Amino acid sequence: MSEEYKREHVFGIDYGTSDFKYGPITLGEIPEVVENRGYFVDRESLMSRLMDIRREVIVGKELPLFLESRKSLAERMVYPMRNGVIEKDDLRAWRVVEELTRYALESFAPRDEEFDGFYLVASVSMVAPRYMYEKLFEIFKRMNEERTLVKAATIIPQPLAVAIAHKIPTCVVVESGHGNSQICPISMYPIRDAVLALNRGGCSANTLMAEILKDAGYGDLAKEESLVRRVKEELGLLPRDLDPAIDYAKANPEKVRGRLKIPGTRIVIDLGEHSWTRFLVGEYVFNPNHEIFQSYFTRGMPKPSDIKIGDTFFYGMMDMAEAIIESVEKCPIELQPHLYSKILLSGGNFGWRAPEDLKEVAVTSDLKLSSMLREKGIEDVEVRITEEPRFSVWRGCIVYGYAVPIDYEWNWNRMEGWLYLA
Amino acid sequence: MLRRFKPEDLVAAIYEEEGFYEVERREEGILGASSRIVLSDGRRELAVNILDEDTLMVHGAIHDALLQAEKLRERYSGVAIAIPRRFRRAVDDGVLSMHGLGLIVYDMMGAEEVVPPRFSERVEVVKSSNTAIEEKAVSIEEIVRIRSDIGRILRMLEELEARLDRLERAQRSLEIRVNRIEQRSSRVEVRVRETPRIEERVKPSSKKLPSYLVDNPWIDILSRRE
Repeated sequence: MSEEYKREHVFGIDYGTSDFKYGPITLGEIPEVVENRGYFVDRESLMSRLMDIRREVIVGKELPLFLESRKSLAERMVYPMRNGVIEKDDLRAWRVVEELTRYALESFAPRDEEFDGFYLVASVSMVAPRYMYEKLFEIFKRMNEERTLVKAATIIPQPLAVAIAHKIPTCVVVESGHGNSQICPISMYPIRDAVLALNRGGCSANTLMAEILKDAGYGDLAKEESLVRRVKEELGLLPRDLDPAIDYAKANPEKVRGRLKIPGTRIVIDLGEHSWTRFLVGEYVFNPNHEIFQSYFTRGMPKPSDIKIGDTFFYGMMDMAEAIIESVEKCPIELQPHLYSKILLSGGNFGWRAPEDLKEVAVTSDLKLSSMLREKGIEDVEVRITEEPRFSVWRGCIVYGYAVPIDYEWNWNRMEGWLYLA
Repeated sequence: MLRRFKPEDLVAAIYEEEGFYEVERREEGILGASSRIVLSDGRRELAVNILDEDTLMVHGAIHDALLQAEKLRERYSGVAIAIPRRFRRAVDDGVLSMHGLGLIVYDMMGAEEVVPPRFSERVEVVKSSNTAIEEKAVSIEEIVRIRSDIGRILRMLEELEARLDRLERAQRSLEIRVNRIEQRSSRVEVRVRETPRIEERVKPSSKKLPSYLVDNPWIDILSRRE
């Protein structure tokens, strides 16, 4: 098998928390995307009999065609990668992962005789424990039961893929998703010993947004998770500095007033005199230690706690800049300035907008983090928000598969290389 | 499914520890027994007549079995009978012991030697009385030797197999290294050639390489992984 064959048959898979991105190198810039979920069919149901469904799990684009009642949706729909980590014995989640993988590979596997399997590069969360790698390799091996779909496979952490897609060999990747945030320094290789994780992500900001909605008189709407998320994305702001921003909002209530009409409904949300709280939502993700958040904690809002998932310890209350410093300081001193000079922010939790008329007090994530780091004495900082964060992991997978030589075999110590399966 | 052991296997197992192995098994045409196994340690032969429950239900079966067993003493160094444990009381240990016959009882849990058989110096007797049996004794010795030869050959085969594996691995690794050296020598040339190929495959409508592959320093870094 030649390098030439490999380069033409690289296949990338990004097991993201909400979306599953996949496709071969031949797709170019944009991969195929389906939701990272699977629906377990009730074989006894009228629907499955009518449609003659023989599969146990439905994944992919046709999934909505098989859905039944809302009640069964909750019982039968499985989102396997909610926190980036799948429990070892979560059989249903692993079943979904296997079906999605098969779905992805079979969608693109050529029928010609020359095809001898893809060189598959899969990407998982930086905090994925070793057993997840083992389970995934087992799944990839099973892909070859009927015909050879996977010649060789490898698994890389998502931050490495992000750094590769952005063409930066030495940097710190901060990935902030739905459930948590991970900080990973990279210098040609991911520096695994320096990885640090926070038990805060987009869902933490959603929780605070729900509390704010309750205080503003929208307690009924605060129960709708998707609506809360939408309000957060539309009305939430990231303050340059929280106290002056609150003062500004109180002095200029009309300028900061948060009002949102939900399209297609009669719902209008107006935060009114509570509009200053818009700044709390963004601040909470970056630094939940401000005294103002204490009042929410004492009223019952869960405080982000320190927890251990898999092999990784997730800090609850550590601020984002402190976490980056702690992570970088685990790396060699000589390397530290290079790492601070390229910090990449990836993931939907960094998408805070700074409206033109509020530029004085509201900022984007890169500016916020730069200023937080400078306050802590770190100079020569350059923070960048990734472009097209949705596809960058998949692109990194394609570059990795394209470049890594075919004889660089998988090694469990360095967690890199090709594992030959056919 | 669990395998249920036959009485012959259970009986043979109790003598395995003493160095006996099975050299003959007959399950039909045995007078006074339902089956017979012959065990040997290379020097002595032990014949065991095995009686199952059906055989013992026939009136006088136990006496017939003992008489037939007694006759076997001329041909084998030792003789024993094996009966199901629940018929244990039908046989007197003392009588058997006096005649040098062994007694084994068995049930589905295993077999137990109740009276050990008395071994005679059969080889010498055989030599003087029966040439045919002498030949058989020789052939048993031969069997022992052949078995040990087969064991040695199997070990040699295993070693050869392992060496072949190592050689195949080494050959594969060498092939890969040669390929890489060839590619390295023409790396610049290869890249220039490859770019349009990917371009062609990427998207028929697009004339450009994917942006993430163009001028990406990681390609050089990753291609040096070894």
